[in-house]
Amino acid sequence: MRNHLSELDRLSEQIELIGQQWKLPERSVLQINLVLDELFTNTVNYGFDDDLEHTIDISLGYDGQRMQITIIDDGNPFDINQAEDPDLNIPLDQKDVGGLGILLVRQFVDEISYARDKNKNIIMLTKHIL
Amino acid sequence: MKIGKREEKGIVILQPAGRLDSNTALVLEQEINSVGAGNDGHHLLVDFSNVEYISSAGLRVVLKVVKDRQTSPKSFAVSNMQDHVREVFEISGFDAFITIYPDAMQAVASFA
Repeated sequence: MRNHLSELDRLSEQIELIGQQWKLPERSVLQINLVLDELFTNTVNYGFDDDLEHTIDISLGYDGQRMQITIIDDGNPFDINQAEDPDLNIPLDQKDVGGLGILLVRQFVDEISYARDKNKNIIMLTKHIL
Repeated sequence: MKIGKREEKGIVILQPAGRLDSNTALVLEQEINSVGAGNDGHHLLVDFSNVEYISSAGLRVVLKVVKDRQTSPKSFAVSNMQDHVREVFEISGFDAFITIYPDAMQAVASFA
């Protein structure tokens, strides 16, 4: 994927196709779509300080029970596991939606690991498909 | 994103269709902003029946309209959420400060 939000449509089309090929439940397809959308959008919005084109690699594997997802980008270092969950109980007028994307990612996958290798962020996600 | 718009008993009902993500959220935000919230404005209902997907970018739009209308004479509600969309709302704690009506009729009645 290129680092443009307009790629989100292509992302969701690809996930739909994969979901059909692998006969995944519709609910899982929507959840995987949301997880990748949030991470992709974060990287596009905050990952790069230049105006150059970057590639964000997303790959998925499935063994019939577990989905393995890998996302690789060459943006600024961002360790998702260090990000704090937002406080959902703060009063409405002080609320913003910062961090909600990460909260949703955590909700819909079972394992998240992060590595920085040379100049790349590598996020690996595992999701059990029920 | 296509957004249907109609008026019922002085209430503006917006009916967005499709995916509400960082690509499309702005379209809904602009449509919402075009509905006045002052004394000469309208109550606003967003009917989610044709929204199949929402991301945090869509939640941001909803939070903004809730905040904008918090002290305004014209209120705001949502209705008809598909299961997945409702789940995203609930996980994000949005059901604590916004009432999700099962259908547009009940939402319209709530404004009375």
